[in-house]
Amino acid sequence: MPATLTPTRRDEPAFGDGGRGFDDLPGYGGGDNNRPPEPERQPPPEGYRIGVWLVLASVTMLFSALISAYVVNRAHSMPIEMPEVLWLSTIVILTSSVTMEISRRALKRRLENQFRLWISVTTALGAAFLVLQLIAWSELKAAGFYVNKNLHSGYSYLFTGLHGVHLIGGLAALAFVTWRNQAKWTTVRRRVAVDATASYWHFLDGLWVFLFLILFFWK
Amino acid sequence: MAEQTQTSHAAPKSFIRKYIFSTDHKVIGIQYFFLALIAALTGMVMSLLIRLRLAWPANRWPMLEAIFPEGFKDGLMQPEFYLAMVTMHGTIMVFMVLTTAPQSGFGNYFLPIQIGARDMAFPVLNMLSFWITFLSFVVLIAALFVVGGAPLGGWTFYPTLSAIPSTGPGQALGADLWIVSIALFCVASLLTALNFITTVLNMRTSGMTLMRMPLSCWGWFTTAVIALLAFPVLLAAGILLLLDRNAGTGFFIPSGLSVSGNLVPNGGGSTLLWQHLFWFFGHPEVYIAILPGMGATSHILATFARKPVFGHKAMVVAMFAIGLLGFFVWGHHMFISGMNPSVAIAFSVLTLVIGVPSAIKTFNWLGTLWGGRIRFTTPMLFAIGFVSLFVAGGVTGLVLGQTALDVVFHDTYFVTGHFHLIMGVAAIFGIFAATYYWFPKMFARMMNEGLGKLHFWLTFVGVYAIFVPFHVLGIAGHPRRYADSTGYEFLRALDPLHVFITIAAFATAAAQLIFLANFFWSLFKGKRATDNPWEATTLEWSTATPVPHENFGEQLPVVHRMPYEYSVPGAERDFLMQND
Ligand code: HEM
Ligand SMILES: [Cu+2]
Repeated sequence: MPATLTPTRRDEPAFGDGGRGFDDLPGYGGGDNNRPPEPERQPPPEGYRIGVWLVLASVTMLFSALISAYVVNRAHSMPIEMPEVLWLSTIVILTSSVTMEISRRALKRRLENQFRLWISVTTALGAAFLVLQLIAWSELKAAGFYVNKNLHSGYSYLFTGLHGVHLIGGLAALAFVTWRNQAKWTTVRRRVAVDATASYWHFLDGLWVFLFLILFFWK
Repeated sequence: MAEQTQTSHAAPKSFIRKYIFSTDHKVIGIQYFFLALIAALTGMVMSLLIRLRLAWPANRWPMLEAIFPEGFKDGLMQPEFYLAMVTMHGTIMVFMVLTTAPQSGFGNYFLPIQIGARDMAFPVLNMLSFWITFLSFVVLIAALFVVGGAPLGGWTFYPTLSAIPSTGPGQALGADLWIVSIALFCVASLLTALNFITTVLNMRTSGMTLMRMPLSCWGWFTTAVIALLAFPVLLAAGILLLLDRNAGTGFFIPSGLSVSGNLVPNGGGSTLLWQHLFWFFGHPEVYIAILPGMGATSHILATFARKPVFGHKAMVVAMFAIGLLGFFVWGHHMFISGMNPSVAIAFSVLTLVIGVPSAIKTFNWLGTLWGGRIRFTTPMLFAIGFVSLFVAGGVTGLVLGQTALDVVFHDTYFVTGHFHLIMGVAAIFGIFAATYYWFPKMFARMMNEGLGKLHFWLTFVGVYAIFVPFHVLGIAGHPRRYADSTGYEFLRALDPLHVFITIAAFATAAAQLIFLANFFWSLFKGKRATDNPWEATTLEWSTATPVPHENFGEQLPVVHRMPYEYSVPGAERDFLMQND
């Protein structure tokens, strides 16, 4: 354990270097593991992680439904022109996953400044991605593919737009873990929150790649 | 992911933070309850208007014309008004009542207490869920009053009628508001589901293993899982439909369609797509409505039979099996859509398979009653009534699940009779049972038992008098959603039955006034409730009445046993609390 630790708070694990995720947080979870009746007033921080997995499940259902509709409509067989800028936005969002991961690991090693640096970079990349998506929309429009041109262009706007809305939620989560009053939460709780945000971010990244592929490469 | 820092234990002081924008799950539960109550009364009045037209289609109602000048031109109820009432009645009942009261109302109030938690996992999110639901209700009601009329596409909102604003009255702004309202409702329900699941997984007190959770908690938990996976699909469908109506897409509109002689410009899509998406949500939705009632019924039957629930584990497994299977049977709503017969057979078999866990639950309820020392309190009567209605409605479900029979019964009153018994009224009985049972904890007073029993018997007889004849109408071939049947010679003989049903409906509606009187009188004047008036075993009865802020005192309870330890041999009382 590094000697520079902040004083131990009540929900901190008494051991471990904080490197392993779920099981490095002993004593949390439901009533199965007979923890003492009241370690503290706050719910166990695992809630963040569970919450994000549930969000991912429901977002998956949302997009599964829309993609099934895309398949049933046979929209992929209708003409569309891919905006070239989407290559750039794909690179940007992939990079943002990498920087997210760097900042998450920095936090685990308790390198506060590095964490802040990289999470800011991630946020900036996320915002840049959104701007690029808007540019892609204008390229689509310029090529004559309005929302109502055919079902394929309809779905192109819908998928990029809905993905963007979810990404805005991700940006809000990033801002929350970066700017929240640090005195108000413990090291462990903050780490779990950042982990959860990272899961969401990586998921959106993967989702984008998938949407990109089925929209423009499935013939 | 907004999270409450509750390191300070002080309760909020200002009126607004305490009762309006409260993050306390108990206040939110009561807010949901009253929202559902208002919605239920609105929906009930609409059903009475529906019945008026069906019983006396040619009658003039000058008094009603004074209230709805558009809907009652010359005192005659217009067919559009009738259809709008059917649509709004169905929508309000399904979403604002049956999805709201049992799950978000009682679940919010009692899930945290029953598992020994101080609040939900995400209290701010919880507050947000309620206010989005409230907004959704306001938007839905607004749809009644906008230019162009209220939506009249039925609560299933099938395209192409619903996808093209020019198809007729009520398909303009009203239909858009309907979709927006439902989309808001989806979002709110998703947030609630997320909260419930996280709470159950993360916040159980020491010793509260999953199997030691009361079955009511299992009901709310399973429902939340279903909601989490089903509502996104309805949301997706709503978004597509909104785009079709406003952005000129044609996801649900076939090519070459013309309306009143005008070619519809957008197209290329599929009308059946909506049915698939809608019913992929719609069938799980009926379980969202009924599972919390099943949980509450199990809980209440055990309490008043003074016995542990028969087959506790089987009840849990059956509940989850129903929830899971519910996702694979949506096609039984589409048997006559032209689907491939072998696909129809698959849907049919899966549908009938749901009968197995349903029968397990029914037999276990009966097994719980068997040999019990039953106390016939009002909540107990409603719980038994729930079982009765569940059986009565379930049997016709098995009939409709057969493709050969459904071809005949689809879109007749037989279907309407089926879903009213099993979904509508059974779930309502679950709500009543829960209300009478938990009222003492929620409001610290007892409800009047005599009035409660009177309410039960009138309602019990009344709903059967209304909905059994529905089946007769259906078998005689009466189609649903017809504003009147005067033009059809073969339906003439059924006119007296319509009159009978309408009279029964008014009588049953009048009986609900007894409930309202009892409820509000008891709220202020009822006998003071003790901490554990029913001598029940679960944690909500171990804490004080009224429930203190953060539910328990300094220490959370520690759980040592299963939830329904009644009549334990050798114990000095006939029940052992979970935390004894
Ligand atoms: C006094 C009690 C009730 C009466 C008299 C009543 C009556 C009716 C009638 C006459 C219809 C129209 C049937 C048709 O033409 O298709 C209807 C539809 C419907 N009712 Fe009720 N109802 C009652 C309670 C409930 C409850 C508690 C629910 C809760 C789910 C409910 C849900 C529905 C639904 C979903 C529809 C279908 C609407 C549609 O097809 O769009 N009803 N009801
Ligand atoms: Cu169904």
